[in-house]
Amino acid sequence: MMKIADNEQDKLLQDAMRRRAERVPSLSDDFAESVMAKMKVRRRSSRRTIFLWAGSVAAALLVGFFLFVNRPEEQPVVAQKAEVQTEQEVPAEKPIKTEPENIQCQVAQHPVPSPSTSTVKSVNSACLVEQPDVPCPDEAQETPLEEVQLAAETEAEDCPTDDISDMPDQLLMVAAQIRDIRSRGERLDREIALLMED
Amino acid sequence: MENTEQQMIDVARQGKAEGYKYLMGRYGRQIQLLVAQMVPDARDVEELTQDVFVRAFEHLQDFNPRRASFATWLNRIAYNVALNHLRSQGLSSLPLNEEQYVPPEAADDDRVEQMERLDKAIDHLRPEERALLHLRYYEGHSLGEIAEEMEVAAGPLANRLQRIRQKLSKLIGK
Repeated sequence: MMKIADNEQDKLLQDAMRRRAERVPSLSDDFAESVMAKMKVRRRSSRRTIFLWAGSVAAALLVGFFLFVNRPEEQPVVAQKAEVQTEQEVPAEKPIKTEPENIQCQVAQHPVPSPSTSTVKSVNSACLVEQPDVPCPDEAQETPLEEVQLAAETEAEDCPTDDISDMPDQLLMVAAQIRDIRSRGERLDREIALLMED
Repeated sequence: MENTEQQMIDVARQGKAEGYKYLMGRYGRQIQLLVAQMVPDARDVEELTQDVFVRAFEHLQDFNPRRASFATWLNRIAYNVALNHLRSQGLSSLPLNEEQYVPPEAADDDRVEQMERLDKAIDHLRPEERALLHLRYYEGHSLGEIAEEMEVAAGPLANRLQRIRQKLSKLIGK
């Protein structure tokens, strides 16, 4: 195989590339116009994209402003926390009746565990914040289970759950629910401990 | 000439059609030829050449005459546009397979025959390699300029060019 000299190869390559270039047809007459038209289209679409973004941001800001203006009047968070803590420390005779002892009393009076009992308790504890005292322990002995359930259901219906403007009450209810869950856990612990002892 | 070009670039930067038309008139063919070396389908060549100018005019603010000439800057855009097109189409180059490549029958050492074989061999190069040959042997650019245009280091580029020449030499040599 004969090796072509570098200079000769350079010349051959130059000729080859020139011939290849000559074969390429020239650009169309309206080439410049086509480029300008493409630029216009792209500018329009990019403007549209910018408008869409700006519109979305403006709408989000408006919604945020509307929600901010119409937010419920509420106490500062620190004050709410303090209030919740105070209520947690309130003794049994205070309106909040979600203490573990009370719930245990109810269960003790009605030893047959039924799903309705727990329903009553959870609904009741959620609304007990502003409800009158649940009789316990002596009064409860005289109150049949059905009446307790009925009273609890009535109270649950009266419980304002959807009122956004009543945010502090909602917070208190959430706190009461948490306490209720905690007390149930403690009760279960005690029951398990008793079973273990037996 | 350089002054006029810079003035026209400034005019184009202001969004005036006069500047755009001057630059397209001056560099349109150069860009078309580079794209044509890389893209096999002739129908795509003009479309891609248009895209090169659209992209260049949209980013005209990024052009810095102290870093590279306008021709070099434009060639770099054209090279990237053509490569992106090939990738998006799933088109790579025809591999340079020396076993599969059958050069045209050559009865003698006639130069025309040799040119035909060389042309066929160039067709079998990768698009990047064809672009390299075009910029080197048609445009007459230095390796430094080509390195700028193809965004690669000049050293490896020289080695690559040498390898291409060896391959072509084998393919067309007798």
